[in-house]
Amino acid sequence: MKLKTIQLSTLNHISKIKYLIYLCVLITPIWGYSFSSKSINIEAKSLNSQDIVITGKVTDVNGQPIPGVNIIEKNTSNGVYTDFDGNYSISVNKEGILVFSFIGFESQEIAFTDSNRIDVVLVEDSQQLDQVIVTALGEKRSVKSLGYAATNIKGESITETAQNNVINSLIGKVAGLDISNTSGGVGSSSRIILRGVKTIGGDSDQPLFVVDGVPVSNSIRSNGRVDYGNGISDINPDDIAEITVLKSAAAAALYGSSGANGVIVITTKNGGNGKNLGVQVNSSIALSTPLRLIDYQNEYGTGTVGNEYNYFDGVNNSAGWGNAFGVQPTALQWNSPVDENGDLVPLDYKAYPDNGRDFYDTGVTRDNSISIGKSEKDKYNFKLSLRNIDEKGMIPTTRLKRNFITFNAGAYITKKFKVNASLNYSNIDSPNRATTQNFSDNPIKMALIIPRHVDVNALRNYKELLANGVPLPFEITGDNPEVIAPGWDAISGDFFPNPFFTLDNNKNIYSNDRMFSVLNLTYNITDWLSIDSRVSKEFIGEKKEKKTNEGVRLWNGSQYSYKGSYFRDQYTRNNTFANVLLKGHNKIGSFGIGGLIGVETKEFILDGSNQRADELELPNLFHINNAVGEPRLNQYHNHTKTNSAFGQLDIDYKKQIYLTLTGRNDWNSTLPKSNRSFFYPSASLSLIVSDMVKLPTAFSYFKLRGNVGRVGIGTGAYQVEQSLLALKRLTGVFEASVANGINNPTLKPTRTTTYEIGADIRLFQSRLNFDIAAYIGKSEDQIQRVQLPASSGYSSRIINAGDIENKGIEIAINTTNIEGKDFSWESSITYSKNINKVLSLAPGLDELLIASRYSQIRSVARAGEPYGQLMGYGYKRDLEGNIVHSNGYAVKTDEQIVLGNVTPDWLGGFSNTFKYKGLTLTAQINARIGGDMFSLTNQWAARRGLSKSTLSPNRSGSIVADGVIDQGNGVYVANNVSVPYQNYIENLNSYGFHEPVIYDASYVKLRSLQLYYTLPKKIVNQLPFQSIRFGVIGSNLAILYSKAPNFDPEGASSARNSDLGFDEFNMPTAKTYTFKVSLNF
Amino acid sequence: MKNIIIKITSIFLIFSIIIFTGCEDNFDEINTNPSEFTEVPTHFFLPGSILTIANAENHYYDGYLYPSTWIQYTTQGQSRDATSYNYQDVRSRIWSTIYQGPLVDLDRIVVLADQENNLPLKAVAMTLKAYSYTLLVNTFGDLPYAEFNKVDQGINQPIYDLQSEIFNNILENLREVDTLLEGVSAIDIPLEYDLIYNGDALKWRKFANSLRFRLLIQLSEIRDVSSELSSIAPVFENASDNAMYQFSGVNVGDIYPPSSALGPDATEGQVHRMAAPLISRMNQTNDPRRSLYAVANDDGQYLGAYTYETFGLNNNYSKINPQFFDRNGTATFMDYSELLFLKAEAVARNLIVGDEVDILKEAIISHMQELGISQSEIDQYTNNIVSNGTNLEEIYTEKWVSMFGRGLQAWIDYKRTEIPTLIPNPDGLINEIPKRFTYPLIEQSTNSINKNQAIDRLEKGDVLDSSLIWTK
Repeated sequence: MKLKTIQLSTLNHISKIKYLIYLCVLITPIWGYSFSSKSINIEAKSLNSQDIVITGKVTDVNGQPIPGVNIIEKNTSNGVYTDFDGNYSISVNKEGILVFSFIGFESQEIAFTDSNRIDVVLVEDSQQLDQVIVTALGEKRSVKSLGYAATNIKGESITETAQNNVINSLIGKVAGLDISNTSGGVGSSSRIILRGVKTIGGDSDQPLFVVDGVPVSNSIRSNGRVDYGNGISDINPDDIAEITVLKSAAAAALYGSSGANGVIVITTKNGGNGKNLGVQVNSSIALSTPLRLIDYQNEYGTGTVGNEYNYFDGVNNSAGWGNAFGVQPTALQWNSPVDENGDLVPLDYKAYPDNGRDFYDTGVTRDNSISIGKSEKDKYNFKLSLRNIDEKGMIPTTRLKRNFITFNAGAYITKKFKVNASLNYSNIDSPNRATTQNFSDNPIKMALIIPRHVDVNALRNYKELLANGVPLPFEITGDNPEVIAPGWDAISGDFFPNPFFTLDNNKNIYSNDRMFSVLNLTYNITDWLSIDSRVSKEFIGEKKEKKTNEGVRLWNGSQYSYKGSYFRDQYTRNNTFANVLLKGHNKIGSFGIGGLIGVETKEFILDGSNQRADELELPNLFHINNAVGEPRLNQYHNHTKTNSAFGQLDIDYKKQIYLTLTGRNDWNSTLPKSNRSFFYPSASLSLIVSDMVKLPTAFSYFKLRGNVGRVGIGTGAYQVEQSLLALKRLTGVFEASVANGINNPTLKPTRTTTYEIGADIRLFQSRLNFDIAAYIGKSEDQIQRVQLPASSGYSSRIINAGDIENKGIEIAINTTNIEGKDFSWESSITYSKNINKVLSLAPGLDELLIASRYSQIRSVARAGEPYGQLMGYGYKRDLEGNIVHSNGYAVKTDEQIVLGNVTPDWLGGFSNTFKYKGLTLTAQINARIGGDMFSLTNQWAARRGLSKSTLSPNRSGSIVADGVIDQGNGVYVANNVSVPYQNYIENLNSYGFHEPVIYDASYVKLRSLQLYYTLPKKIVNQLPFQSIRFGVIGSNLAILYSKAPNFDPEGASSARNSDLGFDEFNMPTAKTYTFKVSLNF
Repeated sequence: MKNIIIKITSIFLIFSIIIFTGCEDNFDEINTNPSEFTEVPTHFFLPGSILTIANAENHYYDGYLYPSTWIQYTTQGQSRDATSYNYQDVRSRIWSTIYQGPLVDLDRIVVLADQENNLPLKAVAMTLKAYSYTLLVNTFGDLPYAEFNKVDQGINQPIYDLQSEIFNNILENLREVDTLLEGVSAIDIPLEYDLIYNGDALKWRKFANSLRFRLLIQLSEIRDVSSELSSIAPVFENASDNAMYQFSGVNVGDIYPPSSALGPDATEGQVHRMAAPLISRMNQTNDPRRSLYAVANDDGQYLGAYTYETFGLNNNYSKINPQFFDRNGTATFMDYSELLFLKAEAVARNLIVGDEVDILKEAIISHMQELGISQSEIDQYTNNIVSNGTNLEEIYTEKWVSMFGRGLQAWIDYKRTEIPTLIPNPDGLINEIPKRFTYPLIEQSTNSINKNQAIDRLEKGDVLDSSLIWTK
């Protein structure tokens, strides 16, 4: 039956598209259509004579439409979903029953006879109050049955935070999950720790990431010099349907060893929101500026107290201890022009108050994505998405471009046999990333010590100035054409190049291509038994290069050189995963019995090499054969394989008591033959108390849960057999040497055991919900590389030793404060406290070094103390705690002492969401309280008289510091020695004096403010769209509380454990404003 | 259709199970690193050992900066950590470089060469081991020796042995080398693997004996050494016997280490300048080596700075001659000239017989010839110096002048003689010229009990001015 013919010639361009879209999206299921070049014919599908069409609307008790309600003709596979407005339309037989079901609501069955309109009101299922989440092995389970803490975050709240790195969207949202966004640098890594640090050395305590049932790598790519991000940022946030965080070992038992640190389960969207063809376009632009920089003083110029600045004189060139501005109105400066006599012309001598900030650009991130998807229940689904992110960093010349392509399709070959396949490709390309830490080419370090009188914008234009004949401030001996900043650093005795020159001529280049494919086959043998199998392949090719042009001064490992250098490193990572599961579930009387058995294999192969030309023969030709002398070559490998067999048994009684038992046996290639096979079990119990006993009416739901789990963990490759020799070829002969590390042929697996209890309490019709967990976990027999004294002949050996314990509590509170027709207000609070203790280390070992940095500040693990004690030289004090002075200066301790700890005491998050009609406003605050940091940034800025903290009425004079003098006979008297203020500050901030720059790293941040506006339907209906949404998102907006000056205590140079607790010229974190548009066709 | 699918699934399942589990037979192969070697010819261990010792002894901090500044060859105008005796052990590499590198590798040569009955090669390794240990024991004092390299026997924390016992052992080994190399002409390895002597066994024997001579002189104040001194032979006979390695100056690891801070590439960060005592002495004696060591200032003068002075780039002191610190500079382990200075000292102290004036003269001549000084200048200088006869102070002072550029050994000599008289920096953290390096901090966290026992035996504890058994 022909309904309508639309003449194309009558339509304008927009309308044509509109109709086309309508045709594709809306009409297809019900109506047929045909094209001709001039017209579109819309006609009803030829229906069976006995078929009727039933339409209707599904709403809740408040009359609000419910989208996505599943409507099935009972005992058939015929089914549809409600649309965004709760409407549905289904063609059915003349008689039958329609089943309306939706999670969280009671299902309804309605018989129909000939009627063609059925409106349904679904009632919330306050008894069931259940949610289905994806847990181990891609298995969907009801939250009710889980005996362990699992936090589920929906896809929208991930994409709405507009974070480039998926994981940052979880900050503050999951109790017990400690995430730090290390810096505002392009593609910077995020540090993720779940329930405390569990390994004493190394970085192997990152949680496991599982995407659609398959583990993916989240390797930390920092090489200690440049932060190249971590693997999880290769996942496109737009593709994520939900994330579930499983925290305990019991939850992870089925994932095997790598799940010991918790599991972050990511489920991707499989097409069209489970509805009809959906086209979604997202476009955003984000602007970033540094959140916190050094608070500089702007009153004093370059020089030392009592010595006028003279830029040719290295002695008086200390950055900020000179005369007050104004005393000396003009001065010769590095960019002074030359007059006709060839003399330098003095320029105004004044402060440039913004020169700290002027170093940075505004970071601009353009992010565009499109996805197309469609699915039909029990038939097929597909989704294709493309995304391009182009990030221009705040640090000039830094940039990161990323492309993602995801294709995911599934089809029912028969009613019982489903095939699903996905293919993900991502590509990262970075023409330059900044060097971090205390390296001479860290631009932050170079920019830090620029004196107050230097116009950074002039430094930025150095090429122009050079072309105009402005001379360089110093002639460096030899032929080194380096453009250096004014402010030859008398304190460190080092030259500091112009940071812009270095950024232009010294590049850290990075590229990464990742292909990740999964094939998933499911076969339902009977309605209670199925086979599920996954095979996946992850292939990563990564290349890092460092290209240093002629003229840049760089330490090449043994020399400072100006001849340029070239370094490249490339590897491929080839990861294979496969499993087969047999799953079943059935009912026997009041008991439900289910379970699974399965086998699995995981293999990781890494194959890499690097080449280094420490000096180049021909300038700026970056080829390894252009090396002066012989290039240094290296190759490296990593190959591990784990085979596993496992099983799970689920028993429930009346859906009120759930017991789950798991067991797993691993065969791990990294361990010696005798210890290669190991077994570990878990048990968890869930009691739905509210269903078992009559509780006061205030209780909507009350669940108690508990679990105990154990996980065995292997180690890295090649740590068993002694690798005897490192071989290299240098001066025309082979050089062999005995490897410095001692391996261990008797290694056994590390064991992690955790106990957890918790409760899920929902009050007042689920408007006040508590989720509480308490846990204790212990990792024993850790496989560690412990240091040996060099005098043993070796640097380290691998042993099983050391126990570490984490215990803590987590509380999550969710409330619905106001729920009205147009307005609603929801809040959530998370709190978690983790207490960490290193119980023991290897016999004979007092401490295990985690990190040792510039000037010997260290973080260590010591038995009986929490992980990550900051050790350094502190103030020497008398018995009353007064600081001992000598000759007027504070004295440091003879030995290193504990000055703090790098881990936080507790974490908190507070989030509020307000909805008014189409407007949604979310505000989130998060806190990370406790922990300490050593700040080299502060030390350098103070020592050079640059930071505001050095301002004092005594600045040009003397100070008699508070403290005491040791009389030598155990008697202390008040300090009465006056010393020059500058010298006093310099002493406090000198090399190897750590306590003056140890800061409390606590912070409270305004993490995000998000405002989204969804255009009303009646406006959208005029346009060829289903929905239009605008968002303005502010991230990392403000530090509301912090005691640490001049740096962001959230920052780090990378996500490695060894970088925690150190601010070594860390890149500032970014305050970002994102403007986002989402269009749904 | 249904049957087919069940069949497919069953096959798939069975296939998977076969692949996935039950087999761990290739795990040993998987866990073997394809990039690592397990067996190589024994002589492969030799060149790296030699190169590493050369690098360690001439390391910028341990080999040049600290010792050369302490005995006032040079001084720092800025960043005066060395000048003010602020020794930063984090910069010190000699301990770990020697212990973890050549000593382990040379131990391996000793074991393997013994098994292969290549005794001359064993003797070469023993000589280098003895040499390496002297670098450590002379700079730190008591240290692990007997329990070194015994991790395979479960010794992770080696005890620190007494210096006297270590010296006994080193000397014993050098005596054994003398026996092993007696009558041997060539070391049986490809010649290019012997970076010092190209496989010449006699030269190795002379080196081992000369080294023994040096050590005996060093211990001569606390032991009776004269009979052994007189019997040592053969020793260096001319400059062609010198034990040295010239760096290629090209490849990383094969560059004269201090060249970056002092050579043509120097950036003058710490404003290194010649120190007054050396320059004054050379001005006094009109030493022809002066222009090789130093650069005249803008006034054409040679002017050295005192250690207590701070100054910036804008100064008028003589720079260090960058040619003396070229990238392809030479690491001298021991040379003929040094042996002659030792002999002259031995004669002057009646430990051996001879003509001390002739020997001293020959020592200076040999040194100057090596530097390419013209014969007429040499004659003029030596005639001047020795015209009034000589005494111990003169011998020690001349040796001090000639050892410029070999900071570590020169400092070791100075600690024993304390001649010429040098005034310690009055603003220094200690009141004496340092006598030792402090133990590395890392030993504190990895071997504290043994380290602390050694510290208890030091007169002032683990500080720079604690005496060693043979220092003044």
